Amino acid sequence: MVDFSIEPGALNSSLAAPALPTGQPVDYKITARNVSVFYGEKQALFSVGIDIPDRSVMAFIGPSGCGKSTFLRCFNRMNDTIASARVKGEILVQGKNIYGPDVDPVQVRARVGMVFQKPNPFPKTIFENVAYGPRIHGLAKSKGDLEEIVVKSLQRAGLFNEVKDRLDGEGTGLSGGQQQRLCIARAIAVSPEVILMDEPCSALDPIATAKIEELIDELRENYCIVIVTHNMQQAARVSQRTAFFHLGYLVEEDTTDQIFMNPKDKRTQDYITGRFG
Amino acid sequence: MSAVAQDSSMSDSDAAETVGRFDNPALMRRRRREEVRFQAYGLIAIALGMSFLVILFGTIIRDGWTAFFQTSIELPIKFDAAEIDPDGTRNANALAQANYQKLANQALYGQLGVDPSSRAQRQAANALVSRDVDSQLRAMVASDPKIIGTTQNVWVLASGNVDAFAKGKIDRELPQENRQISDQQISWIDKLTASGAMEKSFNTGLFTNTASSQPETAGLAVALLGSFYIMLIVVLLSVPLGVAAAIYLEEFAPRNRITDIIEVNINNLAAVPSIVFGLLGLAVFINFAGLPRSASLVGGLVLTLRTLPTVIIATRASITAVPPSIREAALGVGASKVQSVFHHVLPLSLPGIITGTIIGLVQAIGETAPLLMIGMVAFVVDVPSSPLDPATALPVQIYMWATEAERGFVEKTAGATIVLLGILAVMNILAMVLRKRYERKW
Repeated sequence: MVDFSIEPGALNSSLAAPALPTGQPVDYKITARNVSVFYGEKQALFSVGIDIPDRSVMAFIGPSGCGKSTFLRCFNRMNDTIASARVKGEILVQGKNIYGPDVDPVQVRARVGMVFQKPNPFPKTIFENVAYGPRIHGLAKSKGDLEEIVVKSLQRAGLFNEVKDRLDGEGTGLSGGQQQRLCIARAIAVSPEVILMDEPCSALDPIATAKIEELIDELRENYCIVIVTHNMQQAARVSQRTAFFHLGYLVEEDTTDQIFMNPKDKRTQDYITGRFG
Repeated sequence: MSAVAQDSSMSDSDAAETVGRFDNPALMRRRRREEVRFQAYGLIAIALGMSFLVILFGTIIRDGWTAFFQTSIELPIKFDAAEIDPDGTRNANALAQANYQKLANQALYGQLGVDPSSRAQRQAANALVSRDVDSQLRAMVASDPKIIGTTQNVWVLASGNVDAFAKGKIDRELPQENRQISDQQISWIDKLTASGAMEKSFNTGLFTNTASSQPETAGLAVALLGSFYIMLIVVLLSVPLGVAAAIYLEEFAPRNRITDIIEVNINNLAAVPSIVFGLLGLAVFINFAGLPRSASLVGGLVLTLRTLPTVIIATRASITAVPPSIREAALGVGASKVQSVFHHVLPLSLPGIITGTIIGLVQAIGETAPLLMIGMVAFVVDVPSSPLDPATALPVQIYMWATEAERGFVEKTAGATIVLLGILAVMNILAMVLRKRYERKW
């Protein structure tokens, strides 16, 4: 049922993403095997496995309650913060099992950044929002270092030019789209290996959404990005690979073109043609 | 058909009928009557509440504002060396034992033209001056013995009855047998007032004097200091304990039966009658731990127990009000649970915590019953220099003055109530300002 094979060269998304070179070993950033998640007695995810390559965007799609967000939150152990949640199986990030016995979940979350559904900047200044991560992890040796990290992160998030004159203004005073880009800047300020995005555009207007999508496409050059989205057009636009979830199962995973043009599973086909969801 | 249907430009009869279906005049009238009636009930309730408030404050202020003023009499007192220090040794002991009351009385006789040979006249004149004049003059001589042998103009306190008369609390139209001031005394008072030798001035003694059986020299110093020590102890203990307990329960404790029971009991504790806390304090802090009776330390400990549930409940409420997205954001960049709480959740809930604490303090400062149980109802003459010394508290002082028989204590009681209400008002305004200032909308 689950197809782990990668077909390099088959990518042809609307953003003209460069195809992975043929014949070279693919560098997987995340490898998940037999991941099951339980909320109390209820099982939300059934033995899911997936391989996510580096420097690309993986989209998780599926109807509400299909387990895609639950799965995403396994990658940075965010499910640990829910008392009733239990995760089984193993997830390797950069070859290391983040559910291993000697792993500190707090450190996992520094390595795997996350952007949430609703923009959630800290009610502090724009500078402090971005500087918080580097500060608690001791990434900057001096004040100058910290400023450099903040500026660079804001630049990468495509926000610097809009806020450079008011870095000491409130982060919550920005527009919704700007706030979400601030949250992205905050996530990349700690130089994570992976960025998880949980429906990052669902609270934004179309113009702000377009900017975030553009940004995701740029960030792909340096990061492994996993995005959960309800918007199938968005998945088609930004991702190179797509995974379709249904009722807690991973139904199909393939290149984005393959999923949208030529799905193998009937359920995938029904979902992308709008027959349910 | 109905007016609405006819006025409408709709030619379609179906549409007209649809409008007409809701057009029941009897029903509409009843609905409107109900609305008017309900609003009237509300207005009556508010008016009733407000009028009681006005009556309460009105009577307290009417009876109490005069307590902030005090009548004094200016007397040219001759510090007669023969009277104070007949041996001329300037011995401190001898100076302390001299009869200063006599000096004041003699000055008064001279001022009023009293016949010193008439015992009745002498007594009537003596009753004009407070008995406190003795210690006032003694203190003057002790601080500067050089005044012996000179004549000084000194403002001395008038007696409680004279003070009450000067403030209009004793009616001069009453027959002489029914008032505590005789006609003779009234004529003297009028004479002194006319010559400017009797005046009302701001009563600093209300704040600096300690317990006294004379209303004119009784003050709130011990009660104010006792209440201050109690507040200090309550803040120092209940804030750290309450905030720590609230943070643990809200952010770290697992949700299970035990935490449920703890939660229910904290809420119950807030509803326990305060006298029970007094009994607890008596049993634990005084009888078991052996702390001193009547001490503000024990009062503070008891009222800490009383305030703790309020602080915990207020803190938990303001922690819950911080949206979970802020915690997720902090955890998402790799902050630990403790970091997310102390860097983000706690600063954001601080205004709520401060407001809750002030409200708890307001509760504690007005608490009387538990303090009675631990013996803070006492006649304390010495200003307490530490929380271990015997003291009273403001509401207890009000209670004690209310039980005094003398006329002058009526205004003292009301005056002390004004002081207490003033402190409460300031604290409430402070809580309101802080809440408005740091309030954050999500």
